[in-house]
Amino acid sequence: MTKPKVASDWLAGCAGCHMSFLDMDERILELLKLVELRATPITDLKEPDEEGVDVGILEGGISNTYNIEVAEKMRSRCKILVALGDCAVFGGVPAMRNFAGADEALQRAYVEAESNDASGMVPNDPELSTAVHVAPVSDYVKVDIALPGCAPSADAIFEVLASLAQGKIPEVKGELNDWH
Amino acid sequence: MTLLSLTINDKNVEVETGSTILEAAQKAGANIPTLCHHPQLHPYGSCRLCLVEVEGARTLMPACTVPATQNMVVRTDTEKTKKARNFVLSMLFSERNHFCMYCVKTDGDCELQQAAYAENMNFWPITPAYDPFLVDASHEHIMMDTNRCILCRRCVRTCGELVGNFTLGFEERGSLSQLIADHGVPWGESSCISCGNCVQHCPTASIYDRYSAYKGRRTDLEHTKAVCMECSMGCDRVLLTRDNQLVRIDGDESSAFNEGLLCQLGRYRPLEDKRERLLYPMVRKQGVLTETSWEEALQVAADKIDQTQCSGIRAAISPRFSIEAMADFAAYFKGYLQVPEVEVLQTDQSSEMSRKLAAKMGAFEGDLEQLKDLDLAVVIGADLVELQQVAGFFLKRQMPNGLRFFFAGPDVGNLDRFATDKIIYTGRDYLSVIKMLVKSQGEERGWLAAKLGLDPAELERFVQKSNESSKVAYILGSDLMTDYNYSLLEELMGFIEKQPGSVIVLKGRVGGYAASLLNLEPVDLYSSISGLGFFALGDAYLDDATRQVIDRSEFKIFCTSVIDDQRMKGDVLLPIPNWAELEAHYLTGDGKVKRAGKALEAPGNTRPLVDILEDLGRRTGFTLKHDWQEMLKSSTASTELVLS
Ligand code: SF4
Ligand code: SF4
Ligand code: SF4
Ligand code: SF4
Ligand code: FES
Repeated sequence: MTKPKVASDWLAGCAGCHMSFLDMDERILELLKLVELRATPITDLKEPDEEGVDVGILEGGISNTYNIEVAEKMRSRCKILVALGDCAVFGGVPAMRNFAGADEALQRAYVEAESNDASGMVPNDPELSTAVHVAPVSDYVKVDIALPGCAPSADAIFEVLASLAQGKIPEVKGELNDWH
Repeated sequence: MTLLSLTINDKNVEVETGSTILEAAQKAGANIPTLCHHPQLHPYGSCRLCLVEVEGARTLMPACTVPATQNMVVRTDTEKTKKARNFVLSMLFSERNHFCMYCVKTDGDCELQQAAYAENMNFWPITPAYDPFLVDASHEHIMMDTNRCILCRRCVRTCGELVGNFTLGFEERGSLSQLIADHGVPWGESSCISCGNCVQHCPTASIYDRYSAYKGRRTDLEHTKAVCMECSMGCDRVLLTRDNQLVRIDGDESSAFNEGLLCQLGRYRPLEDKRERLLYPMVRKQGVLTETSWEEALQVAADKIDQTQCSGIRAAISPRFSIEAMADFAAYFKGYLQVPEVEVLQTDQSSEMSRKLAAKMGAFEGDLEQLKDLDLAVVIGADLVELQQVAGFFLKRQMPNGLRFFFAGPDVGNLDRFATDKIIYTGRDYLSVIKMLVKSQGEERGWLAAKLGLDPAELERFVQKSNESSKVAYILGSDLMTDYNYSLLEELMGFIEKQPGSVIVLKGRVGGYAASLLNLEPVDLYSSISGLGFFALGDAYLDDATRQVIDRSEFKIFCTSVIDDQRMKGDVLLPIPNWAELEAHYLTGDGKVKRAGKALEAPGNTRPLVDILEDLGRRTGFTLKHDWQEMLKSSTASTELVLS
C-alpha cells in the first residue's frame, strides 16, 4: 500500500504551528512511516505536487492576495484540507489588524515605527500582493478538519495526522479541541 | 407548596410550583448549558443557550425562564437542541472579538469557551466582522474589554439586583449593545464603588480585575475559605493563592449570608497592601534597632514587663486580631498582670455601648441576615459607605422595590439614590431625631421635623405608613452609639422593644465586638500612663490619634507584621504572621464565630501573637489557658452567640 501524501504551507501565521509539529520529536519518525511528507515550508519542496496529495495542511489565516492564491492551490491539490491552529481556524492574532485596517498597519510598521529611519515608506512594488481583510481559511476555501490551538499541541497534531494516515477522519473534540 | 411532576429526558421529577425547567432539570440530573443565567440573579433569558424541547410546544423553550408545568415532557439533548446551541454559540462568537489564545480567562475560567467545548465546536461557523468594541481602562481595580462581551448582563444585574448600585447599564441595541457605566462616563469616574461583584459574575473576560489577570486560572489556584476580617459583617470569602502569593479574593458563593458578595475592602484592599514585612525580631541597642534572636527579644520584653509597675503599663491591641489573640491578650494583661488600661486600638464605642445595654436588656440585637428582607429600615448614626458596605448593599438593593428608608447621620453617601420612599436627615442632632421618632406626636413632631430641616407633612405621612411595616430594622452605628448618647440610647431601646422589628448595631472593625466582650476598652486617647506600652499592631494602618497614643509610652514593644515609620520607633519589635497566614476565628457583629483558614506561609521568622503571649507568660510566671470560648460564654453579649 502506498503511503498517503501530506503537504503543508503557511499563510498569515507565525510559523508556531509548524514548530509545534516539529515538537513531536522522535514521533516524527513514526509519522514518516505512516505518511509521505511532500512540500512544506520547512523542507526543500515548496509547492504541493501538481498531481495532488491526500492531506493538505494550512497554518495561518488569509491576510493578502498571495495567501488566497496559496490556499486555493492547496485546496485544489489536496483531498482533505486541515486548517492548523487558531489563525487558520479563526483568523487569530493577525485578525487584530482588522481593527485598524491594513493601511494604518503598514503605515505604522514601515513609516512610523521608532526603529525605522526617516526614509521609511510602505513597500509598493507592483509584484507584491495586496492586503485583504484578515479572515480564517474557511472564508475562502472549504476546510475539512479544523484543529484550533495557538499552537495546537504536538500531541494533537500527531493524533490528527496519524488518524488521517490510517484513513480515518479524526474528530477534533475533547482534549484535541483546545483553543488555548 | 404543591408539587409538579414532569418528565425530563424520560426521567420523572417532582418540583415545587414556580420552579423553572432548568431547576427541574438540575433535579433530574440533566445538564443544560447556560450563560446568562446565574443562580444568584433573577432569570433573564437573553442568551438562549439553554433551549430545550418541550412536547407540544411550537418552538424550543429557554429552560432558565420557562416555568415547569404539570406533566410537562422535556428533552434537553436532541439533534434540535444541539443545533440550536451551536447556532447560539456561533452568533455569540461572531458578534464580538474573541482571541482565546491570549485571553485572561482561556483554558478553564471562561464559561463561553467551556460551553463551546461542551458542544465540540472547533471552528466558528460565522466569521466575526472584527469591528472594535469599547475598552475602558479607567478603573483603578477593574479592566473592561467589551470585545469579549456576550451581552448577558450578568454584571448589570449583579450591580443592580445584588449590590443596589445600578452603575452598569447598556446603551444601543442588538449587536451594537454596549456596556457602559452610568450614562457613558469612564468607569473609573462613575458611581461605581469598586465592590468587584460584577467581575466575579462575568462569564467571560469582558470584565476582569487587574490584580489576578494572567496570574493563573481559578482552577490552578489554591482556594482557602476565610471570613473577611475588615469589618464586623464578617462576609464569607475565598482566598485564591499560588506560590505563596495572594492572587485574588472572591466572595464565597456558597455562603448563605453574603451569597458571594464582597465590598471593596474585602475584595481589593488586601491585594493593594504592598507594605514591607517585619521578618525577624529587633531590639533597640544603644539607640539603634538591631536584628536579634527570639530568645533575646522575648527576654528583653519579659524583663521590661517584670521591672515596670503594672500601673505604668499600657497594653493595646488592634481590632484586626482574631478572638484567640484578643482573649489571650486580655487574659495575660488584664487577668494576670492587672494592667489598668487594656485596650483595643479603636475609638468606635458601638460594641461597648451594646454591651452596656445588654447588661440591662439581655441580648437585644437581631441577626444581620434580617437586613435582606425589610419593609422599613431606620438607620441612625451609621456609616454604610466605608465599613459594613455589604449591609448597605442589602438595603440599597431593596430600595427600588419600595423599602421605606429613614436615615439620620452625617453622610448618607449614595445609599438613598434609588430609594422610592425616604426621609433623609443629614446631621448629628440625634436627640431631636430620637425624640421625633420615639416620643412626640402631632404638632410637636412637626416642630421637631421642621427643626431638623424635614418637611413635617412628609414626615407624618412616612411615620403613618411606617406603622404598617412589619419587617423593620433599626440599624445603629458608631456615631450614635457613644457614651455621650447613652441615656438617649436607653430611651430608643425602650421604644423599639415595643415595636415590631429588630435592632442591629454595626460594630466597626471586625474585632470590636469580641474585644468588648473580652472587656477590652476602646482606647483612651488622653491616658496619662507613659511607662511601658505593649502594642499588638499587626497589620493595622495607624491613624494620627493612634500614633499619638503610641508615642506617649517611653518604652514600646510592638507585635507587628509590617514595618512603617511609626513602628520603627519601637524598642522591641516582634514579627508576627498576618491574617492570611494563620488559621483563626473572628466574631461577627451579630455574634457568629467564623473561621479563617490559613492560606499562606508567613515569610521570615515570625511567631503568632498567642505564642508570644504564651512565652511572655511563662517568663513572667503565668500559664495561658487559651479558653476563648469560655471567656465569650461568660460575657454579656448583646446578640446571641453562635460559637461553633
Ligand atoms: S472571553 Fe472566553 S471565548 Fe472570549 S477570548 Fe476569552 S477565553 Fe476566549
Ligand atoms: S461584561 Fe460580562 S457579565 Fe457583563 S454583559 Fe458582558 S459578558 Fe455579560
Ligand atoms: S464594581 Fe460593584 S459598584 Fe462597580 S460596577 Fe461592579 S458591581 Fe457595580
Ligand atoms: S462588608 Fe465588611 S466583612 Fe463584608 S466584605 Fe466588606 S469589609 Fe469585608
Ligand atoms: S441561560 Fe437561559 S437564556 Fe441564557
